[in-house]
Amino acid sequence: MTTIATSSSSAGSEHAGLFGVLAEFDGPQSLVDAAANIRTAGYRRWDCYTPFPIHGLDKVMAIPRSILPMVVAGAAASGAIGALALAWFCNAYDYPMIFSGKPYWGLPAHTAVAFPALVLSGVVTSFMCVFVFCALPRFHHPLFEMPQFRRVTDDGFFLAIEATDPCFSPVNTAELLRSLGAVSVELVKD
Amino acid sequence: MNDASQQIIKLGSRDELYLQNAGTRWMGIFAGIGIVALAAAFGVGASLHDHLRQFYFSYLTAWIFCFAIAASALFFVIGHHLFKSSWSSVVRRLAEGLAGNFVPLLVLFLPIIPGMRQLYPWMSRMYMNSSPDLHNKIGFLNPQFFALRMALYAAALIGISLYMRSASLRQDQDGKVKRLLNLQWHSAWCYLTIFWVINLVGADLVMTLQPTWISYIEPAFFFAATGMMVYAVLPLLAMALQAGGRLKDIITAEHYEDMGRWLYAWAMFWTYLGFAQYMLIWYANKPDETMNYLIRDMGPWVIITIVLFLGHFIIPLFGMLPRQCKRVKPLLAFWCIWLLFFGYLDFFERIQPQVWSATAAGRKAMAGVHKFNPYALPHSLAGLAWMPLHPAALLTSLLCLVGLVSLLLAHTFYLLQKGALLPIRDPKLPESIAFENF
Repeated sequence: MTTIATSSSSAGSEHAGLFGVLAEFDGPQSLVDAAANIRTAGYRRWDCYTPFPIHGLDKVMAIPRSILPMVVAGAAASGAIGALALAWFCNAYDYPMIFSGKPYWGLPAHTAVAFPALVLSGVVTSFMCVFVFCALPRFHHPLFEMPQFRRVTDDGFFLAIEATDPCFSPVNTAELLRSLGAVSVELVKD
Repeated sequence: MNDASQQIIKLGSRDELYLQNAGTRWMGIFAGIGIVALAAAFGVGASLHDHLRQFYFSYLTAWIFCFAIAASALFFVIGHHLFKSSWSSVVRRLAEGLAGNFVPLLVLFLPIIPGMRQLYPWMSRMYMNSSPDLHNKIGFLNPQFFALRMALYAAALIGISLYMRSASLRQDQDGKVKRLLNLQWHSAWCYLTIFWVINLVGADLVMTLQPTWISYIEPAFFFAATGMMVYAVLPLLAMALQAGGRLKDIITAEHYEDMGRWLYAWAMFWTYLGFAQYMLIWYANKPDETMNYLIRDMGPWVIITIVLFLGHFIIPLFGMLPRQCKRVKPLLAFWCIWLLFFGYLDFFERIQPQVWSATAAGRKAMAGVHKFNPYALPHSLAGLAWMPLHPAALLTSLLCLVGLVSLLLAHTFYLLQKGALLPIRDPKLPESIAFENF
């Protein structure tokens, strides 16, 4: 794909064959500064890649709070209610049995079952949601094609803007990143 | 030493790092309030004409509450060293101040001694001989061994808290990293020791109010109630100091959030152990164990039991859950005060339902309860169960609480004004100040 830079067809296939643009920065601070500018420039589909968590980066990228807690809370509640309902159905409704002189529907005894059910469904949901929300498992990513990106787990600080972003333009976006102090800016094939 | 002095400059001016005159002022104010409130509590208690029975129970409840604050602070400081944590370095000195209160607590325990015969039925050898089960406990429940145990607890608490605080203050002076490493090295056995001491204080001072009752979870349950206190007091103390211009940019929303999380976790841990104990006793249904709950089911106490369950568990469970409740100072302050209140109510419910057992009728019924029908107990003693909830009795409890907490705070400010409000030469301090939650 050599003609992408000049192509100007319809929005969907505008940058066909292009993943986006990858910029490398020389340190955490210049990456944070660049991220703040990218956000104010109106970009939506972009991300920063760093070897370690950087204080303040989440804030300047304006990453919203994850909905994971809500999902886990819902799953945990349904786990507990499900366990209680099962205990009620078995012990108190369908086949009432007396255990050591306790009432059919004795909440203290059934809480002991409801609590692990709550924990189990919450934990399993949390574990599964990490895969779902992170779109895993995934065996390949276009950024892995870039040789310099290997340093992201060592000493490389990267910012990638994806071609699907409405503001994306191979020329202007690359120019913007260069003006923000990127050490190198390269287009990434999909 | 150059690095260390530069660090001090970075931390802010002397006015922000030391209490200076404000410490002495607050010490005077709290000491005044404390002495007046305790004198008033004694007056109100004496006016009840019950041989100071209610006063002793109120005083013991308040003393246990203060003990819980100091003991949990000590546990927090040791835990900080043991886990080599860095976020809590900024509040370490404040916790050391709260943990340094065991000498005054020992002095304030002295007024309980003349009331021991009223508080603890096992002080009477005649009572202990009234049933075979009680007779078998004489080896543990006797005044001499009790005094020995108390002396050991006091030695452990005072010795360890003095060491933790003085080594930290000495590091402020000479900046030797070795002192911090020593603290970390010793923290392991200190942690275990203090864990057991808190458990045993719960068993000795609270559980033995009912000598017929034994629950192996009760000391751990007491430990859970105790451990929470420091996380409710520390944020309030930090907020008060910040309102007075101290530590302004040092303790941030990140530190408050962590303290709030711990507060939340301990409140839930309290529920976990409380429920574990209740469920097992409910299931086994043995008369000498269910007695504890039957008493707390009598008359007004059942309302307090339910209110405690709601206020200490259900309401914070959902109310404290949003992140902002731990990050925004007024919201966190609200939950700290809320849980301090319910923490006190918890100790109140552990101790004061036993007031009836200190009466002549109660003693008789307690001896009988062991041999005969425990289910006869609640109805025959329902009138006595009300005693700690009469207005004058409640006033005694309130005045004792205000008095002892004020004296505790007075001594805390006395300790805090002696040094910097931060471990200024702690090598982990910069990391702690820059700490951020993800």
